[in-house]
Amino acid sequence: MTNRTTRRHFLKVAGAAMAAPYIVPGSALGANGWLQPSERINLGFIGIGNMGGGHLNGFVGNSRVQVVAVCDVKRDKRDGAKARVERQYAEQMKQGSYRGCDAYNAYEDLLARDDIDAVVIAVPDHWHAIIAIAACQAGKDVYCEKPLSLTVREAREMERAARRYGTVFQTGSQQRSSANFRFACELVQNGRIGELQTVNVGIGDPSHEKFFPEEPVPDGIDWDRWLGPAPWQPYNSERCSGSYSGGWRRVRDYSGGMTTDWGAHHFDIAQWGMGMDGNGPVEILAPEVSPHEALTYRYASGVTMIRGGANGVLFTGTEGKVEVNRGYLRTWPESLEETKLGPNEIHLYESPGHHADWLNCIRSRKRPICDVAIGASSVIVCHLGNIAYWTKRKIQWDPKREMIIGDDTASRWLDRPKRAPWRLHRERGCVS
Amino acid sequence: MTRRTLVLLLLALSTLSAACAMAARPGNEVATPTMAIEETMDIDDLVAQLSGRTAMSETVSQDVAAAYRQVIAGLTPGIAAADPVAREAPQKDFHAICMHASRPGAESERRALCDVLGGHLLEDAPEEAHAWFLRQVALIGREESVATLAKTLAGHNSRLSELSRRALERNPDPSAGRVLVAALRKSSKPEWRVALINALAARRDAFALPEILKLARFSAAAPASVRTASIAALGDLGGDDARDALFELWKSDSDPARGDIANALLRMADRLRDRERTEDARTIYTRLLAANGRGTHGFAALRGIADCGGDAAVGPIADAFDEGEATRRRMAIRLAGSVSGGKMTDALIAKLSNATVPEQALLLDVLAGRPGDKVRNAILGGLESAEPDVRHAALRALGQRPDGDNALIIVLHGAMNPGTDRKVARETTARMSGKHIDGIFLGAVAATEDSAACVELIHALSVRRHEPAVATLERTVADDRPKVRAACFDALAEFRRESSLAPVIDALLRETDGGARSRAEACIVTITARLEDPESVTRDLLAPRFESATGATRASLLGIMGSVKGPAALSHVRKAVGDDDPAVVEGAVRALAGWEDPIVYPDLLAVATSSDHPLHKVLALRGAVDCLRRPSEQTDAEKFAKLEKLLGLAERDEEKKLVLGALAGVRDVNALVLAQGFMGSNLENEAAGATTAIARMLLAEHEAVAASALRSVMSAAVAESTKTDARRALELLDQHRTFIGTWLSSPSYSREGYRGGRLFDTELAPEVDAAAVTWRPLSTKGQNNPWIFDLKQLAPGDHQVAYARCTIDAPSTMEALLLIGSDDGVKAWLNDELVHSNKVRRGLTPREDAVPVTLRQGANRLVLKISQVNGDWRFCCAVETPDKKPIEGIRFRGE
Repeated sequence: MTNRTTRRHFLKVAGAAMAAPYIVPGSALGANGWLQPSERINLGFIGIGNMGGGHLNGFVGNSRVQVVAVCDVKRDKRDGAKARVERQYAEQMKQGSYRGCDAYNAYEDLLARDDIDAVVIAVPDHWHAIIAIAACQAGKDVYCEKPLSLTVREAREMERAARRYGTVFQTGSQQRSSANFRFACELVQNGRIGELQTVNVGIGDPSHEKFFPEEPVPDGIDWDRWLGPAPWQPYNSERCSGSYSGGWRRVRDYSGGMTTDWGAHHFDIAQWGMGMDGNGPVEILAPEVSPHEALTYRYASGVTMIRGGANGVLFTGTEGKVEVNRGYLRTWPESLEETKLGPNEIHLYESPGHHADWLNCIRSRKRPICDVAIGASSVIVCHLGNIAYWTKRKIQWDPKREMIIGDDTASRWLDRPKRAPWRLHRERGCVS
Repeated sequence: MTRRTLVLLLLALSTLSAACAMAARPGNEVATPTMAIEETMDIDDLVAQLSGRTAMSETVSQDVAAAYRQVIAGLTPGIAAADPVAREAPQKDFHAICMHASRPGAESERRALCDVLGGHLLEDAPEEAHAWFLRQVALIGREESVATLAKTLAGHNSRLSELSRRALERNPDPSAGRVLVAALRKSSKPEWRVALINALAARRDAFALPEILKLARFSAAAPASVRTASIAALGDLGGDDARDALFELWKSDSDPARGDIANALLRMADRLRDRERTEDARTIYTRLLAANGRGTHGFAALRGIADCGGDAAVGPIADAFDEGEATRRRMAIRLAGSVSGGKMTDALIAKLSNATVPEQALLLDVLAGRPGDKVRNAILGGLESAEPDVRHAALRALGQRPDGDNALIIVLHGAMNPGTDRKVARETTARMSGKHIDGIFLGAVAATEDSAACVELIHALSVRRHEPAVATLERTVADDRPKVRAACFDALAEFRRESSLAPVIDALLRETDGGARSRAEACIVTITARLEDPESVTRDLLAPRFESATGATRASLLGIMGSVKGPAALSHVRKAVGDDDPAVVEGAVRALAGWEDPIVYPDLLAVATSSDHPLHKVLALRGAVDCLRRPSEQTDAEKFAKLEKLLGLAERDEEKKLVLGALAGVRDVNALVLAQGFMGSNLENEAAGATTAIARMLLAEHEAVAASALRSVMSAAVAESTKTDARRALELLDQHRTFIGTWLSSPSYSREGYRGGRLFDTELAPEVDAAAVTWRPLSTKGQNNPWIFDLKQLAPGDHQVAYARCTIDAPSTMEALLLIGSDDGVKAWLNDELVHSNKVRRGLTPREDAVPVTLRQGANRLVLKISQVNGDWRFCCAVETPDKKPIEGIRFRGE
């Protein structure tokens, strides 16, 4: 492990620098416009699939951070990520090689490193809560991909853990960092479309039980660890594929399907526009029992939210409408698009970018734009939608006590048993 | 009876007889299946009724248990099928039945189903069926299922035991917990014990505590995994005994599970705090803090104490300001923000004097919302800091105290400190709440003599949208300070009042400062753009003032007319092109050059051709090129002819480069030849760029010419990025040699009330009488891939269909494959015979549908129908041999 100069390591060795010669590369000392190592945030990446790989590409070129470790249960992914990081840093240092990024199969080994300040978690959904809570317990700040959790209870436990340990926890619902979405929500919250009546949300289908034939486990995949807390199933390449057209996102044991995957974006924006962060609907109707023949939410305010009928999210008020999606904003009347808010109106959190906001908050210890509590209340809306889908009925929900009222079977979906030895609260280093 | 029902029933014979035997056992209260149900119902009907898809018949409702027995017997063979894919339908059917039976208000149905399921779980049923039944019991079982689950839990099949454990964990009846405790006592396998402990922890049954306490105590022989699971479970179970036990364990500094113990205690304390048992919670936090002051757990304890309220947290938090590494200190400062009271405030202020720069900024942020003059003075002190980050934090902190004096201080600070301080000050005043602040700002505009301060006040009034300020600003455009006038123009542009136009235009006519004049022009253009009749501004305000204006001001007015546009403005501008004053002519040519409409192309061409004034000539030439770059009805051939002429007029390399740049957007072989002609000249890079861009557009239609041009670029001494583009275009060509590159298309078709799927099934004009349809060439202009055709060029929107056709010239009669990709559905006719139909909603995946066809020698007519539901609407098609190889000698024509 040559040429590793990490922030905490730098602090430790600084005191000893007079006693022993210590050579660090120029860029590590802050040349070429890079921060001093004592100011850089050391990052570890847990999960290097589609999303994790994207985050890695974004962060490895960011001078505010140093990627020091990667972790994946697929050997080719972690080795590829390690090589990618080291190649990039070698190029930045303008020297032939760099060795400073370690690769792990087990996330516990990565979290056990004291020199890592923060972690980016981009594993399949059934792993989010266990790893994120362990990271909080290990004193790391967390960027966790959306949807925040697999179950309602997990979401709340993640929030509790983050608060308990003072974690700066960004949920990866990055649409909150986009000006278009913020503007649309500000229009709604400031009454520029009148009294809000309905919200239409364009998302895909829920996950289901999936039935795959058994295949031999390929070399280089730790299949038991990929399954982790989920019920044991034989290996199948589709089961653990990150493909959006199929893969684990469609399987109920690992994901809530597009209800949570895209719901964590568009329901999240709907919640933001309604000013319902930390709150939620009171009734959720499956398509079979909804007058709209689509998944329907009713809020105590009288607002109805319906799945479908929108390019992204469509807010309809008594005096206008606003529809928003990525790269798209439309208002009725059109003049609403030119709205400028005054000082006495509601101005929503303005994020400089989802990654940048997280890094800023790691420094300032403020809560980021999509703090874990926001991620939790948004994903709970998604989970409730799935529970309605799966039970095919109307669910009554108490958003304050976070309880389903009068429906024992539906309530059992609020959490799921985990395969041993996995549980939500495991101290790092105590691998069974 | 359906075929599926028959098969399932045949397969079910053995299971059914077993079910009957089971039902007949002494003590089993479930009735045997009635002949009435067996004789009258098939499984599909039963599934429909029992899952709620259809109403329950009287026969079924009279003996629902019998119906469940029959449906389970019927579905079991499928549920247990060897092929996992074959299990899907029966497993989902049964799951739907379980969900329906467990709906609120249907307890008798749920109970009946669970009783029947219990019987099946005790049989020698196939493992897959057992497993699926257990998964359902986990969702709907209650006390009636516990005894059965206890037996499967204790069985020898580890998969079924695990599923039983999960079912017991979710079962709300306390007896389920007792079964798990009993199993824990008996078990000696560490992995299984951990699983049982985790299940008990999730259930939070208090009676599990003694057993778990035993396992939590340290023993050298005990597996660490069992012990740590037990410790975690104590945290979930809670209670005084668990707490005392955990503190007892905590005494040992060398305990390897110390972290687990601390986490368990913290969770226990947090739950107590949430239940408002604040003192109990505080006791745990305090003991933890005393034992582990600086670690992660110590900090978590400190946070807990802070959350419990009171002054107890002040001392430890203040101590933490100076302890540990930077992140920990910042966490302590942020934590202090959640503790109210004067003592904490004093501690925060005291910390300011010895804090690092980031800490000072953080302290000011935390102090911002706290009351008291001491806090305000501390914030004002921050404005004096030499560190920008601290000053910015102080500005933002002051902005959170909505008070007139504070607002003026922020504005003045911004006026005196250009750069980032001013930027932050402006952001802060823009959002400072309090309506009285605007009145203070407005009063200060008239009162202040300082130009910079006045500018900042005017800016603040505009960004705060203070409408009453408009009248004052309209008067202030006559101020004798140019910067103030410029600020007024900017502000009035923000308010966009039509009434401001006349005073601003008059101010423009008087304006002597160049900077202020351009701001006045921008203001007029901005306000005019909002009007329903922008031409009225030219007619009523600009034109009457034009004749009396001086040369420079006339140029300004022409510039404004160039932005306002319209026939009246164009008439004035054209007339001014012949003015004697060069400044006026320049203004007119600039206005024409920025007109953004090909209508002015002849005017610009005339100036470019005949003007003796070099600047006018260059401006006109550039404007003319710009006209041709814009989307218009002109064909590529027409654009090429005009650009060729402009290239002849261009004298300087700068203009020639512009023309080459415009040529790059012309999809025409002549344009390609013209661009290639500059290869080898001093404009080679621009020529190569244009050549590559044009050749890429022509790849599908003029493969040989385009490929040759791209190869010439690759061998030239031009920029690497251009060579890379050329290489990628050639690679694209290689990947798509078998794709059809030219198509004709019909118009798009939609019908009121018809969705995309229905239109797909509807015979429309091209299917009835293709000759009566107007077919036009489909363009791939603007597409990254010239073999992928975007049908949105026909009409935007959802729910429509269109047809595309082409001719395939085959060298001989042969078997071939059509490889079609479409978004969304597609039908294909070859020589008027329907050869493919795929009604689907999907994104485009090239080569997704493989359609075997026979091509006859010579011309073959291929027609595709592509439906659009929503989102993208595209298609592509390749023709290859049956083993997916290129076909020698095949040609495609868009005819």
